Amino acid sequence: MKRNKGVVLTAAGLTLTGALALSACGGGGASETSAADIEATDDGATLSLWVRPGNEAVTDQIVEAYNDSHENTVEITHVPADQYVTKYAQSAQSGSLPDILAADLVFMPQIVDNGTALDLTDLLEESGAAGNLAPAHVQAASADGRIYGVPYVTDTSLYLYNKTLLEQAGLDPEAPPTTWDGVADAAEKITALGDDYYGAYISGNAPGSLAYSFTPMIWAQGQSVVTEDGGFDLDNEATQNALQFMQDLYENGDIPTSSKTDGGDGFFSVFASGKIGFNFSGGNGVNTSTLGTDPQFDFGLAPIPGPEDGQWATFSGGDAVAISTQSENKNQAWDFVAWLTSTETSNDVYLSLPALPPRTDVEIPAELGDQFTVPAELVRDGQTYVTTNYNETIASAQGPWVEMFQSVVFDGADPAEATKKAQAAADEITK
Amino acid sequence: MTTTGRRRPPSGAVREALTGWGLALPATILVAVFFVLPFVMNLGMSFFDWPTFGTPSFTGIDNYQAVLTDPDFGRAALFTVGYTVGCSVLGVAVSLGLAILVRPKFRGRTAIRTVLFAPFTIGFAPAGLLFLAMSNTRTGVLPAIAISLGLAPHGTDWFADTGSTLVLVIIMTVWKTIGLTMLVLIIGMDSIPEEVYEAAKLDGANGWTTLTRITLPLIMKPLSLVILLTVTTTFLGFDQFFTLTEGGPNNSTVTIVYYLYNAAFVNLDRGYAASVAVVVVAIMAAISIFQVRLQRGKGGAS
Repeated sequence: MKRNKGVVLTAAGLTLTGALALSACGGGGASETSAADIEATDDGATLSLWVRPGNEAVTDQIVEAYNDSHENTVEITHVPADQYVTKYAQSAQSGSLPDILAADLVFMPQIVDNGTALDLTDLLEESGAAGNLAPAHVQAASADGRIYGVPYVTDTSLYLYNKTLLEQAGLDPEAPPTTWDGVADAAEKITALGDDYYGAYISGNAPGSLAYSFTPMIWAQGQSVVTEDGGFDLDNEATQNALQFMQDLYENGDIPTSSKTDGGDGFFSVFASGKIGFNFSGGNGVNTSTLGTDPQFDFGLAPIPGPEDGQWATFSGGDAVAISTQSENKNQAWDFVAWLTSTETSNDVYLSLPALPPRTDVEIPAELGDQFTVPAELVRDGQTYVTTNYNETIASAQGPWVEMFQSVVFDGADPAEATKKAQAAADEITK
Repeated sequence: MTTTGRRRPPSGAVREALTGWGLALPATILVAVFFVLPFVMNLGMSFFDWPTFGTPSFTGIDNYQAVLTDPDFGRAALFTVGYTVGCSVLGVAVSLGLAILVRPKFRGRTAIRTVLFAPFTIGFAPAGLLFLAMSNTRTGVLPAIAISLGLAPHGTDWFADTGSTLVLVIIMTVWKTIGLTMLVLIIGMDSIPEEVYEAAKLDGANGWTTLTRITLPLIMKPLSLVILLTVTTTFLGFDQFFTLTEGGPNNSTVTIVYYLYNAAFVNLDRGYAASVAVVVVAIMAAISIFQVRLQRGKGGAS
């Protein structure tokens, strides 16, 4: 028991040491190099890059493609997603950040706010990438009209639907529903197909996944969730409507009860069983391999709708990269970022993987199929959360976001009361 | 030590003291660097508003006031106490029963002891992940068995309900920790002289009387140690909940240390987390002192 106590105290002590280092070096340690002096340099330097695990199929392959064609070498380190912010904070304070920071784009506001990302605006204007990059990534990495980060991995939320089941239920598999009522009607018919069939699915206990697959139902009504000053707007009619829609689906028996405890492990695998009609999830080249097994059914992709026809929205997620202000190889790091955001790389490297490209001005070959052409179209209108309070409010398993969703959808709470409660908790965090 | 017939030269005593300090030095340095120093720093930190990003500012006892008035902390403390009591009662009872069962000599005794001890050698995190996989509502083997035996309804999901979640975590904890506590009790029982049992037998004592009148009183010390060990490890429970429940369902399984983790590593509020750590240490110290007192009292009585 002593050991355990020691661990707690040591952990607290270590954070203190990190924080002391902050006050010692006066916060940050940004060097004087301004973007104007930066010139892409490929001279055999070694660049460190941090990224969260999970997207290796893209992140590592892209780095490999760069290393194969350049003198510089990018060394990639996978930092576990739930340790990323902590590790970043400690390294930022002790001046030991990597040259290139790749992070889940929802953490970009934190990195930008902390002043550790290099202003890339002029460089991107010059290279022609500005204005042609996935907008959600740029939005997440921007402050006061300046851009500090670019897209690295791009994906986008949507719903997957089982064409085979739609057909069995007497619905047109090529005309997926475009309204909540449409989804609810179709879901009911699919649930009626048999004992283990369910109309819809969502990973209901995974806070980050819910931000991804549930927020679009709020956005689709024209309601934003994050305010301009980084606070939250949860107590509104649009959020209540979206919660009510999900609650009705669940109470109607169209969502399996196991959704309540799914912390993300069923994100694709439940749908892959072939017994789910609509899966609110995401698509970065969703294919037979992402679905785990070779599904014995046809599936399609469509935007997550709002209540009215024509309303839809999408959370564009993935990873963004920034150049650390602490880097001593800024010229070489820019060489990597310039290459990453070039049209050639999007066309020749990303699309041949294949993966969704960072650039929005390249054409997606039709032979890549719906799982690329549909998301690539959605990315152009992708939205995201731009707030430094994402971690505590949205991503935390004890945060108000997931509690609001759980209490209404699975436990039958009144949406208006739940949004009020969530708003109060979110205000407490952001105050 | 200086009462030997021959007077030692003072230098000898000095040398002896130096040797003593020299031998204790490595441990002292480790304790100072990894225990005392962090604790003192942590104590200092707990009086600051210390955000992960930004500059700390002194706030006096504000953090402590916030901790002690936060209903979530109260809930976490209450839950932790319940979990500790559940685990301790069950853990001590089962390990005592097992110790009695596997103490006598019989064929295959070592093999059975080894099997019972094995879970102790893995960490809480892997044990938690193992149980998580085994209990998954869609893919786990345990619900499948329970359903096929008719013990649970089709589609049962243990993690959806606080009660079944807690039972699962308690079973996992007891399974995981029982090896060591059982071993400590066996060693205690082995140290009871055989003659005592023979005398009891001659006096016509039955099994129950032998257990309550002889075995239990004579293993009071190892038993207190077992209780102390169980209470402290379960009171500081975190890994098992982090891996198995993530504090759910509906935040009903957040322990004190989980609350501390959230404050430090999710909310990134270091000063507040430091004050939570101090409160946890204070509670732990109180429990330990109480238990040691109890043990001494018992020891004096027997």
